[in-house]
Formats: sequence, structure tokens, C-alpha cells
Amino acid sequence: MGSPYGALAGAKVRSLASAPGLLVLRSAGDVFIVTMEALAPLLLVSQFGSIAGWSGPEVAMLIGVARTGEGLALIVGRGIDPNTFGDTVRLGRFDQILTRPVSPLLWLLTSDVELRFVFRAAAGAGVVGWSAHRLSVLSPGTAVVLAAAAVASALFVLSTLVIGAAVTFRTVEGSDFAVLLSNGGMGLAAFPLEVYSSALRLIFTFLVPVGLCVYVPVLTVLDRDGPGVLGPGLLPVLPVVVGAFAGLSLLTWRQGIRHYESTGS
Amino acid sequence: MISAQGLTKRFSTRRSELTAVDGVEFDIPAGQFVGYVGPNGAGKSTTIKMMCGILRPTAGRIVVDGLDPCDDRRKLSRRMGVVFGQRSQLWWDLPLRDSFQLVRRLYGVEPLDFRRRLAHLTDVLELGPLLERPVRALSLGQRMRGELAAAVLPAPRLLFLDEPTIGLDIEAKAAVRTFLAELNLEQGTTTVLTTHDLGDIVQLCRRILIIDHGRVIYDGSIEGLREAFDVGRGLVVDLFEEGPVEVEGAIHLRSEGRRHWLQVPRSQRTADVVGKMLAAYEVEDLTVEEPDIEDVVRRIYREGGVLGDSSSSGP
Repeated sequence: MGSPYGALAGAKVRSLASAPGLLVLRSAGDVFIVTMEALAPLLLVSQFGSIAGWSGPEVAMLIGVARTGEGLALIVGRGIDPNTFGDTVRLGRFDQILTRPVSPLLWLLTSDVELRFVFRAAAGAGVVGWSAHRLSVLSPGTAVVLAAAAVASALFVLSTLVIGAAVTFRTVEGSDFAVLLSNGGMGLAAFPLEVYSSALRLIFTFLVPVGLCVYVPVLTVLDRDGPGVLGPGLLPVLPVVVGAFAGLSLLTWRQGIRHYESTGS
Repeated sequence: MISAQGLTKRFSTRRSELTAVDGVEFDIPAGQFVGYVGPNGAGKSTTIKMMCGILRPTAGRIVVDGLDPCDDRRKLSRRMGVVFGQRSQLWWDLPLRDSFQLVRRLYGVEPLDFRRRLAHLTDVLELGPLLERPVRALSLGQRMRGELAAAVLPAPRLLFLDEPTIGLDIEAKAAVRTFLAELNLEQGTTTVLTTHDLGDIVQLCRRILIIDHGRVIYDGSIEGLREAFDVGRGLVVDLFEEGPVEVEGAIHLRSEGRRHWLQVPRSQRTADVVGKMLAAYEVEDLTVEEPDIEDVVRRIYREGGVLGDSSSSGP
């Protein structure tokens, strides 16, 4: 019979294909933004020599990993992004999802896939590949670490969106909190953590593990130590912390649904 | 099939608490077609949402087809169809046929059953010319026929309909009503209908539940409703000459020229009153009218009441 979620994703892709011009335009915009973003540190470094001791290609690697993860997450995460999900709840569409014999979260993740973010992820991966080549660190081992970093980053972004969506059950309006965590977190991770205070570094490594997803794997690939406890030695805890963060987001989601109060008819 | 006991839903905010549904009790046997009506804000949609597993009751209990709607939501979803008249369940940019295919995948309908049911629904709902058109290109009436087909494709045992005829023209309304009546008769699908269109209720429902301020204020048949609220029958009389009209057993309501409107309470025999009228006046024309159900329900909404009859237990 096949998975209903695959069918839902296929339906959205067919919808998107009915307006190919728009898809091409938006995808080109995403590629342009990621490329410009990666060029920015190169320009900065050409003026100042380095950013907290990091060269242009090294910072570009951080940006590439962060944007690859973000792109991967947003391919499926649009249905739970704060604005979209706020509308879903406010307009009663979530009621309809609850009348279907499916997991509401998987429905949201698959029924609103956004192909243009494939190009954001691809542009991010391109930047990572370029920086790894420039830094002469490309090997099967580093490729695995960088891929794991991108997947962990994607999981981090999705988890923050799930938490934000769970908050929306209470507030009905889209949660700015999720935007702050996902966009802010990934923006923060696009720079070496040396530029932040030690308290912020710890918060964004262990509590909101964006630093662990992006910064620590890149340290590992570059074979360098970070400030304080941060360094390649933390890589083994990455799956544990990210898994715990994802688990926390699912618990929050379940609690949110339990207290879902719908909206007027 | 559906049993509600002390069903209560309260919505709390920091400053206040609203009781939307307040200790509602009813039993709906399998195969029954029930109208669930009430003024805006009476608690209709909240009750339906608790039946579907969308909302968890604050107190009391609801059992639908032997299941707890919230705890067994996915299991129950496989057995029920839902139509929200004001919200589409179809895929906007895709042809109608693709929406039906998605429903098949979501509900795990076997391909053979799907083909047979879709052929039948295409025939009775006249969907043939619409199947290849994107849902966004359908008129409201066409879309509603598509919504109904999508809701019943998985052959649900239960159907929840929320304003299924809202905004439809007379012809589209008639088509929807005919389809629903036949579905209930042929498949024995238990159906709960909420609507403000009492024409739907009169034509489709053998039982009506009226809710107001979160409480069931009437549970019984349409006929029982007319009798319980003693609106009486109407008499419209055209006389050959102008002048006042007074007949024992009838209440004079109003006059316009030679035409007079009177009401005969249920306690009086209409035939007796008509006989007296014919004996006392030169009558050109006379019509006996059943009370308009909308007038009855409007009166109930205005005055409230807790009433019911015993004719509601069978399908």
C-alpha cells in the first residue's frame, strides 16, 4: 500500500510543479543568499586578516554546515514554521488534520515540503566542499563528520520548530521564540564561538546545542581546539545531546496536543 | 454508537473561564441520522470536536463506536468521515481524482474497493466531468460534492457533517441532501449533522438535539418538537367581505384586507375550528399550515427549555 506520508509529500511536489517558474525564481534566490553569505567572511578576512583566529575558508565552512542543515530542515519544516503553523491552528486546519488516521506531526512535515530549500542545502554543501578543498582537509573521514554535522544541524532546527509549534497550541499566534532559536541559533553558529562570551558558548553548546552541531564538528575536521572545554573531544556526545534535544521537542509537542483547544468554528 | 455522559468542556484563560458544553448527555444508536442544532456559540462545534477526538473533555465521558475519541483518535479516524462545509479537506492545486487517490492511501483502501466505490460515487454525485479539474477550479457546489465523496470513500461507519450545505444554491443543496439520505438508508451510516439550515434537518433527520448555552434543551423528533412547544397549526382564510374575524378555538394573529391569519392550538381539533369558520363566514379560500420549524426553533432559542420525547431511540 505504501506510506501515506510519501503520498502527501508527492502531492505537494506535484502542486509545486504546477508553478515551475516560481520554484526556479525562489531557488535561485536561496542559492544567491547562501553564496553571498559565504563570501562575506572572505571579504572581512581580506580586510582584518582573520575572525577570532579563523581564516576566511574556515568561517565559510561553519556557514556552509549551518546553511546545509538549515536547508535540509526547512525542506520538511515549512508546515511547522511559526507563521505557517500559526495560520494552520488559527484557521482550523489543524482540526482537520486531527480527523485523519495519521501522525499530525508527520502529516505537517510531509504535506508541505518546500523544494526550494533543496537548493539552499545544496548551496551550503557546495560552500563546505569548496572550503574543505581550499583547506586541504577533504577525506572520507571528514566528509562523514561534515555530513553528520549537517544532519545534526537539521535535527536541531526541526526540534526548535517543533517546540515553537507546541507553544503555538497555547498561544495560537506563531511563536517568535522558535524563530529566535532556529534562525538566531543558526546565525550564531555561522561564526566561530570564540567571538562570544564563555557563558553564551556553554549555553549554545549544551543547552541549545547549535554549537555542538556546527562548531565542534568543524573543529574536528580542522583538527584544532576551541576555547575552554570545546574541542574535537566533544564529538562523541553530539548524537546524545542532539537526540535528547529532539526527544524534548517531541515531549513538548505531545503535551501541546493534549492541551490543544482548537479555535472557534 | 455514540454515548455522552456528563460531557463538559471548559475553556480557561487567565482572566475567565467559559463553559462551552455543560453536562451534555445523549445516546445515538448505530444508523441514526441526528441533527445537532443550536444558535451560534451554543456548544455545537465543541461537542462535535469532542466526538471526533479533536478536543479532550474537561469532565464527563464520550464513547464513539466503543472508542475514546482522544485516546484512540487514529483508530476512530479510520471509521469516521468528516465534512466541514467552510473548510476544504481536498488538495487545492491537484485534480479532484488525485485528492481521492490520497484519501485511498491515507485510509488504506484496497485498490479494488477504491475503484468500485469511486465509480459509484462518480455516478451518484455526477463527478465525471470534475475528476480531472483542480479543486481550486470547482464551484462551491461541485467542491462540496467532492468533499462528500472524499469523506465517504473509506466507507466510514460514522459521518460528522458541519454545515454541509452552507452557501449552496437550491439545486446543489437538493443533490447533497438526496445523497446523504440515500447513504444513511443504504449503508446505515450513523450521521451527525450540525447546521443552521433547518431545511436540512427537516428533510434528513429523524431526531433533533437542540443545544443552547452548552446544555441539551431538546432531544426528540421534529414532530415532537412542534407538539412540545405547542405552536399550533396556522389557518389562512380569505373571506368574500372585509371585517373582523373571531372563531372559538382559534387565536387571531393578523389581518390584511379580506385575508386573515389565525392559529389553532394543538389542544383544539383543527377540523372543528374550520367547521365553525365555514358556518360563521362566507369563505372564499382556506389553507391549513403546519408551523414552520424555523419559527419553532427560533422560539426555543429565545425561551429555552428542557424537553424531549421518547420517539428518538430507533434509527
